[in-house]
Amino acid sequence: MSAPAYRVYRDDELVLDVADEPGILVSTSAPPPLPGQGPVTHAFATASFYSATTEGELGALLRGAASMDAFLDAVREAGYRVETA
Amino acid sequence: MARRPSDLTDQDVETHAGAAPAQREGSTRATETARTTTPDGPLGNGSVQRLQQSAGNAATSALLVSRMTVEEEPAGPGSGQQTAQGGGGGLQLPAPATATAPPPATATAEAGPTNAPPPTERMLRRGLTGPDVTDAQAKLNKAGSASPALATDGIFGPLTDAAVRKYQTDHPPLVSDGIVGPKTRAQLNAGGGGGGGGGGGGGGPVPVDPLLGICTIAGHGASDAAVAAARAQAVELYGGIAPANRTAMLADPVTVDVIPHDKKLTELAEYAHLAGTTTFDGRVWDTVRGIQTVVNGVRRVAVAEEDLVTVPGKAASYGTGFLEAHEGGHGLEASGLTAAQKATLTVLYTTRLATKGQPTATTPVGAATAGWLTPAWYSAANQQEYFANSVAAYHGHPYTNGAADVAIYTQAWLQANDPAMLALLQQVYAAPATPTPASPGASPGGTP
Repeated sequence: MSAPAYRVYRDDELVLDVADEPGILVSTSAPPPLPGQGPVTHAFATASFYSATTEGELGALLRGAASMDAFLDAVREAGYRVETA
Repeated sequence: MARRPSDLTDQDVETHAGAAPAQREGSTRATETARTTTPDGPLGNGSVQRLQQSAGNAATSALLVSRMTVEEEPAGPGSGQQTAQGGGGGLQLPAPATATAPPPATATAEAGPTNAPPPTERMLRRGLTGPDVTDAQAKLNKAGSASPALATDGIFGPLTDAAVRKYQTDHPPLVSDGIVGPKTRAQLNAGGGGGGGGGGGGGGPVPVDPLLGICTIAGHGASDAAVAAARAQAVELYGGIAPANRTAMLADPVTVDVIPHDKKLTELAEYAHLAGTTTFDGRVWDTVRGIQTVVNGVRRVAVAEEDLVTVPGKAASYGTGFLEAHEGGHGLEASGLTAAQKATLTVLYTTRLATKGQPTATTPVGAATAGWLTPAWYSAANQQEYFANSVAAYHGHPYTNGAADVAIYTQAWLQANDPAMLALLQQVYAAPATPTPASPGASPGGTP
């Protein structure tokens, strides 16, 4: 069974796909990490960011959250819309 | 894949050419470099576009020479053996388990001495520019291998590639590989005409700008060579897409921004709003050298100048042409794929995850990573990265210029390892499907 997954929107723009399982985080910035560097991973989230404007804020919220539920609560408080994927 | 000597193509001759592996490596890198810079960018129909194209070509020729010199160094920029600078993030983990040290040589069996072409007669293939390409185009026109006739502009792009393949098909035993090597050149020089008809050697009609309405290049003060290189790659990425994909892109065109080597991303007006903000992992956007995003409703791809042309003292970050191919691939997916193709992509990705598994940064290189383009964990991260890296492979732009990456970022690798993705890309590019090998020798996971 796949992990619960969510889509996060700013207004109508999809800005984040996130799943409740440990994994890799992917930025909108230049493609894979530079040769020789590793991926960014997270203890409870697997995520892809799609908006340069918002990924910094969302990343900070993710770093500050203790669980997926806490992260999603913080995201909503920050004005984003969360949908179950 | 083993092949009989009698099946040798011009590509084989190129691979065999040269006496020492190191020399061949340099040659391969140079070829890859050249491939980046200029596919058939048919001239625009306006005088300004003609001027831009002309200036760009001249500059591109110069940059090719300089990149060859740099990249033939054993550990040159983007060689995959160096640790690139920049980008340290707050959540970074130890280095990935992906291959970073390419094998010393891919196939010593192919290193046997053969009749290497003299230096003045280089192998001509898609992406190269120069007077020898112009000469070949004129001869292809004379042979009637292109209809309408090719513009004799010295740019070896998809139209020239198609003409070469047709010429080769019409002249057995030449193998239709799209490469003008010794055999094809000899046939052309001998005046081997095809079905006749000619094409008017006077240059032929000037084609419409293939990027018209679907892609704009913004130089932001970068060098003419960098702008020309960005445009050439954009033509490669978008110029040959199928009508349905072009229609989609007309509604959501892409702008490619060149980030000058001496400017920060956020010094470009379009990205100034990011100044002082960070990526999700805490890197300041000011220093980021590539991005694909939407700004004020406009889809934009930003590519560093140093990843397009050689900039002294400023190393390229990735393999030749990879950055624009990958980021531009994101743009193609987002704006150019039809709804049906997006659905197909989703199925391809989920199916691949189910069959190949999802490697992580700590997955040992081997069977668990072999089904994904490098870095495997990144290609497997989501369908966007899977597609973008596949686009880079389709166009032959490797993640690094290391031999291992150069070997797999190819259509041949896609054919052997991910034929469904290759079929999707061939549909997008309105390219003829790759024939299925007569023998079932190409097993999934095999190395081309």
